[in-house]
Amino acid sequence: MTFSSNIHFRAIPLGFLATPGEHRIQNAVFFKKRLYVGVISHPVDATTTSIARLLRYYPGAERWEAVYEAVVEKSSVLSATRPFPLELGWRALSIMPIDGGTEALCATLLSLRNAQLIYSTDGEHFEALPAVDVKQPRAAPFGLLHPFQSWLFATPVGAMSDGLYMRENGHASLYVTRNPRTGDWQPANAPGFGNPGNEVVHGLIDFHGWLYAAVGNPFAGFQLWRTQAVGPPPFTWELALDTGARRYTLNPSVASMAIFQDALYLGTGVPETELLSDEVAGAEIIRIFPDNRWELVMGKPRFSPIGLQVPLSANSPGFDDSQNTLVAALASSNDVLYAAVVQRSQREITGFQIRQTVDGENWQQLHSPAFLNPCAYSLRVLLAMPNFLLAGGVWKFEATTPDPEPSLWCFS
Amino acid sequence: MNTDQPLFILCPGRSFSSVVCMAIGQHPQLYGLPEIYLGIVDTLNEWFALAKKPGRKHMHQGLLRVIAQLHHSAQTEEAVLEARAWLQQRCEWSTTKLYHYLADRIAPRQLVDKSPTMGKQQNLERLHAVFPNAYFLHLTRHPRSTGNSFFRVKSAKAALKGYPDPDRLAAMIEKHWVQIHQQILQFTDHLPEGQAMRLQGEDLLETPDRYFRQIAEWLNLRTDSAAIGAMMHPEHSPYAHIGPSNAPHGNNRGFLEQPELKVGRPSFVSLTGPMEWSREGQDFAPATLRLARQLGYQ
Repeated sequence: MTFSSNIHFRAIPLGFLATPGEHRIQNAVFFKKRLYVGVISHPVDATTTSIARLLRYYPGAERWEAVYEAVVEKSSVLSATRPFPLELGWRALSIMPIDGGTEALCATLLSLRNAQLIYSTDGEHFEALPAVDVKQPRAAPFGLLHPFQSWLFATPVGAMSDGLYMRENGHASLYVTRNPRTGDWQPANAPGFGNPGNEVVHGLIDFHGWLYAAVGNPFAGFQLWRTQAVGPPPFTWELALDTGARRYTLNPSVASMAIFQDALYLGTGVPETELLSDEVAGAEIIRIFPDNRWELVMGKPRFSPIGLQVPLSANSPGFDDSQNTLVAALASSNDVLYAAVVQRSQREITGFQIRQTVDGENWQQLHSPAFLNPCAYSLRVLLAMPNFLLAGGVWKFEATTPDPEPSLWCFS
Repeated sequence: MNTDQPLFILCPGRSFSSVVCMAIGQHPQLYGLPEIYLGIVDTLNEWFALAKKPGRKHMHQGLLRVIAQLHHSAQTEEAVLEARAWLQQRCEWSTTKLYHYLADRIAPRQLVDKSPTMGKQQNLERLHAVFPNAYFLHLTRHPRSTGNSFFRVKSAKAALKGYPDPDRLAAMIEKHWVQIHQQILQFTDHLPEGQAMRLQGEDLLETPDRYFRQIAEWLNLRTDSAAIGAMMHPEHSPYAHIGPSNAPHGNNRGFLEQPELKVGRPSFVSLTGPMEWSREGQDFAPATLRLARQLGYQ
């Protein structure tokens, strides 16, 4: 069942971004009681450089500062010579153990030629890891990052985001290392998990002692693989779910994952960083349990090898709107699971919404006047803490926009 | 289930629909029909006209057998003659009226009908108009298996009767598979969620009890072992054998000769490689591949 509620989202202004252009908030994480946000800005003026910034927020003082800035190549320039779906900027922002357990803020910065992993143990001073050779041309394990069982797992950038390299290199790949500073990365899986249709690893999450990898497959539907990372790499992986949970190519990818009340929730849809295929359908939410049993939370009723699947929420795909094609983010706190749902078509994004549930089945849409800002284009990031929810996305301003006020939204 | 909720099975020809329809129709709360062709015309007059075209005599046999069975509890030559006379006396009836007559006769059971809709949207809409609350099961089969089966049957007929041209037939097969599935998808996409479901015939044949149970659950029918067990025996249907000489068929002949459910996964086939029926050795077209993958085929 769907309910709706008017909620007051407080805006946390982002003065750094009040310039004409497009500003994409790509990820956010708390580190040493400060909020770090990765943003890429593409100015309206094509001659002005695009910049990837890492911003830090002091919650008490309500103050922002830029702790890292880098010039990035522009996808618009590249697209003149070849299709290039990769959105350059920040791929991942994570807290990782570095050098034998010291916690560090790690960020992967993408650009066409030089993918980089930068890290900082104090949030002030950043170091870049040297480029490494993982035997894939121009690919480095600097995409998605995830620590698990004293290993650091990473997706190579080429395989993850660049449509051309996906095809050249073939297949979803993962690498592991004990310490990224050593540069000793080893393959963590067989290429594509043994399936040439498995093109991309979209997400990594650990659940009940297993590391789960969400793998995009546009030819047969997404797959979900898991490992306990026992023994030396490459590890043994087990297929937890495939064929896009029996929706096949209409569920080509899992765009978001979160753990809530002892189940792993999957949000489907093609991430904004990738091109859409011809067939776009309303997104679904599926939950899977440690024994690999799965349930349809929101989506299309269907027969399955484990029984009739009828959406527990009684919502059809896209929360009853087939234009809602992407669950861009899922985030859970102690008691609430949130979903960022985006209306994405081949050409553009036409809207977004946030939903919440306290039982995983009955969802409530959160309305806020803040969402009506015409410059708020899309929603990308949800960060759920026990007492509040942070939400951020893409802002677009024209030179003529009066008093632009880009912001993060906070609901407490 | 209310009295006006039959189950219609929608698919191109050669998609296991005969055995699936008769098997589902063996559920104690259902009644499986042979091919009665009421969904493609508006009146019984038009239905009588169907069989006047060459090669279409078979289109009458299913309904004649049904009326004979319902009125006389037998499918003898005499019963079939009386059934024809009964229908001729009512040739002004709309097919809607006859459909509801059949539904009333077999009540409280529900009709299960797999009559071909010829891939026309108007025929699908007609079924929906007759029974707005009907359930629709979209049954699929791999395009290669469907095509091979279709080509085998049709080319044998073509050799006998001199039509259609084998090349034309070969070109038609792939198009036919795509068009009919697209029509069905277009139709079912607009129905309320849960009124239509899709099922791979291969899955059903591999573990029929598993999917029969889910179909019964979907239709809000009994799911006990006796009910599901009955669905494993399509050969128990009164229409699962060759009929009298004046209405011998009314269903797929192969099924009528061997009506038992053959449990097991059909042989694996792939979307890759030339179509066996194509003289030029063509592969499946991109549109076919796209649709087949959407339906879960590799």
